[in-house]
Amino acid sequence: VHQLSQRLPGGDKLSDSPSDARQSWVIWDLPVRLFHWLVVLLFIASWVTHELDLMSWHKLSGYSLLVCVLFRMVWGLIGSTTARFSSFVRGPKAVAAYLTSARAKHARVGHNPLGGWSVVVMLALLLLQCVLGLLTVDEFGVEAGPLASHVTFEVGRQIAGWHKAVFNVLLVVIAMHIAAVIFYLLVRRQNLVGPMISGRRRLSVPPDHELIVQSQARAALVFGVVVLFVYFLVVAL
Amino acid sequence: MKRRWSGAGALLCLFVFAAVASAQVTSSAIIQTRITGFRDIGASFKNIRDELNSGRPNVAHIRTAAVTIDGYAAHIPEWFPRGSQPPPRRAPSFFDMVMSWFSPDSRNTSVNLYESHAKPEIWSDAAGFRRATQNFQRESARMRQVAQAGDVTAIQAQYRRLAATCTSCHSAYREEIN
Repeated sequence: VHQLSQRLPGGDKLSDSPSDARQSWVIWDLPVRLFHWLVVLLFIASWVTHELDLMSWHKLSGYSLLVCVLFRMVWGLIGSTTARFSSFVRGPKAVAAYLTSARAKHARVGHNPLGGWSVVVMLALLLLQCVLGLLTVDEFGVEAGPLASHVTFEVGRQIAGWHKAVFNVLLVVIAMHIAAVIFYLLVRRQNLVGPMISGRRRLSVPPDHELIVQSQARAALVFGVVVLFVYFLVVAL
Repeated sequence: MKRRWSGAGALLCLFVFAAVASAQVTSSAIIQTRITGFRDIGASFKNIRDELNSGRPNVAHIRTAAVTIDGYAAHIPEWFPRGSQPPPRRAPSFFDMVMSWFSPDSRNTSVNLYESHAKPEIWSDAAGFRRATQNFQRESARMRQVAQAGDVTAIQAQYRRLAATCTSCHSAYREEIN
């Protein structure tokens, strides 16, 4: 499979020419960025369509969100370096070290040890929310998720309660996520939104490890498989 | 003499207490009855929905559910006697708010919890509520007939018409749960 590898440039060459010192690196690949902003749009869309009682659009939005989340989970296993769980899911010691040495310059790129866990939590909550939505039943027993025929009315109503609860928890976690981004912008003077749009970040020191960007053909293949999986889950089951 | 009067007073107190207590028991009993009934109606609606969505609907199941719904529909006028308003609720605490996140009917889904969300309009606009009830009864009777006849397309159309009477009545006479 084609891989685009960003090799670390020679150290002495960098120090010779200060204009080249802040080199631009691809830290977020296109699939990760598309995933991020699609989830933003689909989360808002799911919220609005529920409030306006447009349930067929709410369902469509939910299925799309499920596709995005499942894609991101697979991409966390076989995607580009910074997309992989193995690159950002760290133990409690690493998180503690990150929190206590917060002022130190981190040459690492990608999610920090704390941010990595927030990614895991948000992905898990979004996945849970989508699965609960598939089984949710409304108060009339009329509108329901595509898999609701596998549960009783009472169970479906309880699941509807959890669907609502997880939404509220998601709102809290998303608020914390946005607060962290604002903290980085105002206190650390580091814009995290720009790189999530352009994918690039200028670094004065090269990243501490090689950044491999996987081909978009691989991403397209994973996406196709996930779309088929969700289609069969929703229609065939 | 004095003793007799105090005895009569005690007896009177007992009667008043018994009357109030029995009124409360009756009221909470009727609330339980109607909530159980409406839950059963919801379950029957879901049964019809599941059949219609299955691709190969079992008309016998639809028939059973339609008979159940129509049976309950006849009882709805008895379910809301005067004095069966939901008891005044204390101001919700933070704990209540968090707990309410976990239930779509604010703690009403658990089988042994019965919290009425009946709006006061049921009693203040009794004529309107009667009309809404009659709409439901008319459509549920038609649903029963259509299910008996067994034409799935007709069942589908009548199911939508019947469901519309639920939503319109709930939006006017049932507290929206957020």
